[in-house]
Amino acid sequence: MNPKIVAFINFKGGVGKTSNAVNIGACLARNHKKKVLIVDLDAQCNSSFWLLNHKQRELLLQQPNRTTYQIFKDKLMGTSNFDFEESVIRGVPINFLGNPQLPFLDLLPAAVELLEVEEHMSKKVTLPYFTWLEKALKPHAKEYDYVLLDCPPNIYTVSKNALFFADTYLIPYIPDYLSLSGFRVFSRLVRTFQDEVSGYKPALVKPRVGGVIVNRYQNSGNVFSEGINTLKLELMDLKASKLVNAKAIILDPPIRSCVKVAECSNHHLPVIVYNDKCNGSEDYSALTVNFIKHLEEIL
Amino acid sequence: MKHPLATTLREIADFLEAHPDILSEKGLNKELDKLTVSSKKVFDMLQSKALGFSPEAENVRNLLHASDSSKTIKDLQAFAKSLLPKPPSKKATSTPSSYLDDLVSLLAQKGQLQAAESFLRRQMSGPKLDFSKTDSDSLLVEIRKLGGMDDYTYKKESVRLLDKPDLLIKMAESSGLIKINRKKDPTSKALLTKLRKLGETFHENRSI
Repeated sequence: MNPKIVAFINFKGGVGKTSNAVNIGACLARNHKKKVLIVDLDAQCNSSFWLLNHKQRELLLQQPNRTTYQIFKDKLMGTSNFDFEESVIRGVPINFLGNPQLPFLDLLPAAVELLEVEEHMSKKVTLPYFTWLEKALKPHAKEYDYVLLDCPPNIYTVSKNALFFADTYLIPYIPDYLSLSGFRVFSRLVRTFQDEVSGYKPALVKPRVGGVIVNRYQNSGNVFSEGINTLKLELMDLKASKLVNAKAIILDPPIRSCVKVAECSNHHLPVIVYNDKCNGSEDYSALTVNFIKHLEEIL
Repeated sequence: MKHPLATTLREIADFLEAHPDILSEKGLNKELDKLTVSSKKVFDMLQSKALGFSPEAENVRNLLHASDSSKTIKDLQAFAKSLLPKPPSKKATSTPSSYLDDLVSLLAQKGQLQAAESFLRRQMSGPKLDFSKTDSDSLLVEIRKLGGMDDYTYKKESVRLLDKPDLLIKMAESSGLIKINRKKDPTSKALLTKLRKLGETFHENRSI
């Protein structure tokens, strides 16, 4: 298989990175029968906690070596203990009988110890530190159609590894003015990083910000429509400055604010499994169709 | 026939020649200074008429000629108002070309050539609405341009836009923010004001 590796990234928190990775991943696996791996790279472990039940999480807490943390620890400590087969959790989430609810959806979980990576990095910088994730996961990515990287809300070591590994970056976004200014700063930072490391991977010469996903959209008042219009204009400007991919778009439809999407994480289920009829499920199903189409066009 | 002023001027010249010591008197000294300045102005004007425009004036004339502000006398008057307290008076025989010359002369007289040049250059390089594309994204760009225009450019561009009420409605629709009540048929001017206001928000939020 020729996997499409997508990073869900934004250095602003609470914009829907995990929600997008989990729910698009679930739609790809269930509605389109695609083999999907979600890689949790955030020390807050949100996608791991979302897709794993209590017992699975308890087990994980005792085994941080079976998480993405081990990839970085190995490089920092000079060990080679990361074992993909042991770490990947196949067919998440599971039902009460322990059977996979989405057999095509796998998860490589995170551990809170990922926070230590940045601490160690300041003491020991081994260049090129941004290739570690790719080196560890590339051989295994081949068994998937899509690898979705759920990134932390920053652009430090772990995120830079995701940027280096991914074929394209999708930016989860809430349409307000503060997110807009964050988006433009983020695009510049990403472009600078790409320029710095393109010697290691010439394909990084081209801007990889491939699109924006609008989350928590509300149809009342003008603030969100105005925010989307401003985002459209911003995207046009960023394209002209070659800070984002020339084919970058705002993926349709925006994900409407939906209480079921908020609820479903409490039940450790993607929204389409939790409630197939709600606005969130409708939006994510439609968005995933466009996600597939858009990735075909830009990659 | 002699101009009535000629005799007075002659008498003043004769008097000054006969009494050069009068220049030292305080009250007269001031008045003589005024006379010198106004004589110089007249002299300069006569000279510029005889020699044609100065290079600076010629430059402004060319710029004005190339800009959209010189198409009609009305356009030129509107332009003049942005730099002069009063535009040159229009004669019955005035044509846009002759009025343009009068305007440049007046700008030179009032020492406004430099201001006129920078104004024209700014205006020429400034935003201009492009109606060639009417997809919603392109129209958003035009709304933003509208919000970034100075008053003079906005006035000029709004004339073009008000000629296209359908396009105005399309622009408003593309924003998704301005409600149009077709039954009430909002005046194009009201719509344009709303679009400019929205454009100002877009313009303020732009980064690059």
